[in-house]
Amino acid sequence: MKEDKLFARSKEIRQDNWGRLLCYISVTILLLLVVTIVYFISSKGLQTFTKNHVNVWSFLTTADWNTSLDAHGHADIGALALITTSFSTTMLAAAMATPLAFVIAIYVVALKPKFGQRFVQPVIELLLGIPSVVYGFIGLTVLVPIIRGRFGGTGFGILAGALILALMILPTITSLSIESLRSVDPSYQKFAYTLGCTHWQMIYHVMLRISAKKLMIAVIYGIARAFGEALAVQMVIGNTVQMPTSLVSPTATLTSKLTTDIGNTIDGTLPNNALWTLALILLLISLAFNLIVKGFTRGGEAK
Amino acid sequence: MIMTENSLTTKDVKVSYGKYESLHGVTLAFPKNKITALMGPSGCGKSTFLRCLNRSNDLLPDVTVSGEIEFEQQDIYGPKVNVVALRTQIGMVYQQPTPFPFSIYENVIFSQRMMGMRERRQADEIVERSLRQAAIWDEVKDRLHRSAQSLSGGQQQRVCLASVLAGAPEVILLDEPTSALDPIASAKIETTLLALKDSYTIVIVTHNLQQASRISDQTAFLLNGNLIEAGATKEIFMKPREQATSDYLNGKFG
Repeated sequence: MKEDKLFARSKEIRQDNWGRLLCYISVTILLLLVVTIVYFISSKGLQTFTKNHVNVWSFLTTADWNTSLDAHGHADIGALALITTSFSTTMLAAAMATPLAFVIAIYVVALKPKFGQRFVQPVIELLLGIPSVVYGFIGLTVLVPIIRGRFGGTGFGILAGALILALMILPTITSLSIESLRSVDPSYQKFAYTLGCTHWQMIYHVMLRISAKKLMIAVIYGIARAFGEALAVQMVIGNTVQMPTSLVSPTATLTSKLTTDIGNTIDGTLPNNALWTLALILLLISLAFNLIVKGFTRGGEAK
Repeated sequence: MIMTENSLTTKDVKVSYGKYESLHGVTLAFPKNKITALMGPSGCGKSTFLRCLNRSNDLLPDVTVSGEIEFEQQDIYGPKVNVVALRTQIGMVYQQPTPFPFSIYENVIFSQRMMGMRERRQADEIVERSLRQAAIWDEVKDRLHRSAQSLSGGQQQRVCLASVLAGAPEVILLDEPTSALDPIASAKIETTLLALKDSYTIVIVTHNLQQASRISDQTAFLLNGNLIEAGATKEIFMKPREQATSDYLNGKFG
C-alpha cells in the first residue's frame, strides 16, 4: 500500500466527521433544553414553598385557591380541587374512549381491513388534525347546553370536559391500537386457525392477548394527552376552583387554571409562583406517565 | 397398492388464484394410517394442494377451489361444513414453526381451550400426552411454563406438532416441516412422524427426496400443477412409470 494513500485525508472522512459533530451538537442542545426547562419550572414552582412559605402538604391536600395573604403574610392555597378534577376528567375520558377505540381498531385490522384502511383510518387521522380550540368550541356551543338541559346545573363541569377529551383522545388511542394489532405476526393468525379458532377467538385469544401491553401503552398515551390538554377543557369546565360535587358542577383542572390565570398575575408574587407550582405538578405527572410507558415497553411481550 | 381404507380422497381438484389456475385437477386418495409424501419442485402446486385438504386456502383472498374433496366420505367443501371443526380434525404444521409467544403449556392446550376446556387435571394430561407424542416431553417437562419461543427451531416445530395433536385430529398435514431445520432436528421430526403413523393419517409436503423415501408409504409427484404419478413409495423410487418422475429423481431438474 502506498504511504500517501494510507494517510490521505479524504472527502468522505471529512463528511463522516462533520456528520458526527452535527449529531453531537443537536443532542447537546436537546439535553440542555430539557435540563433548563426542568430547572426553570422547578425553581419557579418551588418558590411558593421557599419564598412564600406555603406548606407543601397543605398545598397538595386543601382545596381552596385563596391567594390573598392574611395578617401574618400566610396564604391558604391548595391545589387538591384542581388535581382531583384533572384526574377524574382524564380517567372518565379514557374510560369512555378506550372501549370504542379498541373496537374500531379490531374492525379496521381484523374485520374489514380494506374498507378500514381506505375510509376509517383517514377519518381517524382527520380527527387527530382538528385543533383543540375547535373541539372546545363545539363543546361550549353544543355539548354544554345539552348537558344543562339534561342534567341541570350550568352544564359546565367534569362531564363536559370528559366528553370533549374522550373525543380528542379517541383518535390517539385508536391509531396506536391499530398499529399494535397490525404488528401481530400474521403467522400467529394462521396457526390459530389451524388449531381450530373461530375468527372472534383468533382476535380475542391471539391478537388482543399478544398485543395487550402495546394496547395498554396506547391507553396511557391517550391519558397523558388528555391530562395535558388545556384549551378545550378550559372552555367547558367552568373555571371555578372548587371541589367537584358532581359531574356537572363547575370546577377547574390544573391546565385550565394555568391558562386562565397566567396572564393575570405578576411575576414573583405568590399568585404567579403558585401557578408555576401547578406547572411543576403537571411536569412530574407527565414524567410519571413516561416512566410507566417505559416500564411496559421494557417488559417485552406477553407471557 | 395394498387395499386400505382411505381417510381423504380428492377428485379432479383445481385451484385458481384470481384468473391463474395453479392446480389442474388432482385425483388422489390418502390411505388411513399411512404417510403420503407430496413431492415436486418449487411452485409445482404441492403446498396449494395440501392447503385444500383442510380448507386453509379459504383464508387467502381470491382463491377458488373446484373438484371434490371427501374426508371420511363427506364433502369438506359442502355448504353446511363447520370449517372450524374441520381444521381440528385435519391439523396442519407449517414450514416455519410459529408457536404463540405464550408458555409451552398454553401453546399445547390452546386448541382445547378454544373448545371450552377448563378442567386443570384433564388439561395437564392432554399437554403431557401431546408433548410425549411429539417426542419433546423429556426436553421441556421442567419448563412447561416458560415461553415456547425460548426453544430452538426444531423444538418449536415439535411443540407446534404437539399443539396440533392436542386438538385430537384424524389427519395431520405437514407443509415442508423440516426445511427450516438442521439435519439432526429433521431426523427427530421424521422419527416422530413414523411413530405417529399408527394413530394418524399423515400427509407431508417435501422437496427433500431422501425424506420422502425414508418415511412415506405412498408418494405423489407433482409438476407444474399436474399430478404426474402416484403410488407406493418403493415403486415410485425404484421404477417410476413416467419419464418426468425419473428425471426429477435423478436430479435432472428440481
